[in-house]
Amino acid sequence: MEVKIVEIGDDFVKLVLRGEGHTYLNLLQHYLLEDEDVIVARYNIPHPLVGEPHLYVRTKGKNPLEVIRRANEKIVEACNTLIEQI
Amino acid sequence: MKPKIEILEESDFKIRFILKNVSPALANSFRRAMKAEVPTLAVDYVDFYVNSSYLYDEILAHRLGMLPIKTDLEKFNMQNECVCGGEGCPNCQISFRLNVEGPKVVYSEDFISDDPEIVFAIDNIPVLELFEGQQLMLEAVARLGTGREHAKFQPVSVCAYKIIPEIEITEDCTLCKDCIEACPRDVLEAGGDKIAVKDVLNCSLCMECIKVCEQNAIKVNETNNFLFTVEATGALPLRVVMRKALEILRSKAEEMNKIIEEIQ
Ligand code: SF4
Ligand code: SF4
Ligand SMILES: [Zn+2]
Repeated sequence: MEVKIVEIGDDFVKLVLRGEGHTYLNLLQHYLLEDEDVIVARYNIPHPLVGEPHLYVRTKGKNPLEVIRRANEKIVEACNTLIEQI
Repeated sequence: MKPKIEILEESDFKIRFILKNVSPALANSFRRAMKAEVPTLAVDYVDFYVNSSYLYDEILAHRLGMLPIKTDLEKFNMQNECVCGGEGCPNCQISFRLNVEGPKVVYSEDFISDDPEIVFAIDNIPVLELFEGQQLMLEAVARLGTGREHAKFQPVSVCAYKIIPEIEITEDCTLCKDCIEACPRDVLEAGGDKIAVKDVLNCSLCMECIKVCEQNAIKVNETNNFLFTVEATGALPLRVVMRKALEILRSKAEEMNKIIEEIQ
């Protein structure tokens, strides 16, 4: 994974995540939207072969990177509870 | 509520389990990760020394790629992460040798592997038939890859899920039994003075029962429980596939967090 920040402000961020696809990004988007501080969380894969998805997050004022970090922690937690049961 | 896995039936090549209390996003990412992100070995490069059979080299190479190989993920590196830098070394690839003369049907068990533990998962797959005077001598090189790159690297063949619904019958029901008649999956039954749900796992959410109910007394609600059916190719045990898929999802989240921390 390669993360590049295209644009960043106090309450929004636009990222490019090279090498990822729907598998991870749809999951991340879901957990971002669960967060009450998030207004918009959306990913887009402009071309299916190039594989450079964009992720856009806008918050109600919180640091957007902090919000993404929190969503990722939720993914880790959910995976951990499932791994324990296999 | 915490996510839960409840295994219903399990054999070497097939597993059915219920994934409870998860979002559709997690269920789908789990499915996608099992199919396309868990690495397995597959033949990717074949050297032909002699081939006087009726099949072209290309066709044979393709057929060899399709044979599932028992994979030990501890023993091999992905080629792009290997110390050899992608050139190929014993840490990232393995050879299968074959030297046979006809008349003979060549089966997957005829190949001689470099490592006696890494063999083709099923030993009676016919590869081709050699006739009198034909010879085949080749070296097939297998490496790790993911289903994202080519379907031959998939550790699972069938990997699908469906929502387990919640079927609700309200007070308005007049016991006309139209819904029992209409259900193609035999989900409902008459249980005394009300309609009972016999086998909710069988329901395909076709909504036929709702269509025929004139009283609007039956409801089929979606839930956060999913019934998974997964079949293995033999490359990896199913529990390893499931665990590995979740570990890959987890590692993606952890990797991104690490990158974010470096940026901040
Ligand atoms: S079709 Fe409707 S009214 Fe008739 S038995 Fe089924 S739920 Fe009851
Ligand atoms: S949704 Fe379809 S399969 Fe499910 S109970 Fe109704 S008729 Fe049967
Ligand atoms: Zn190597």
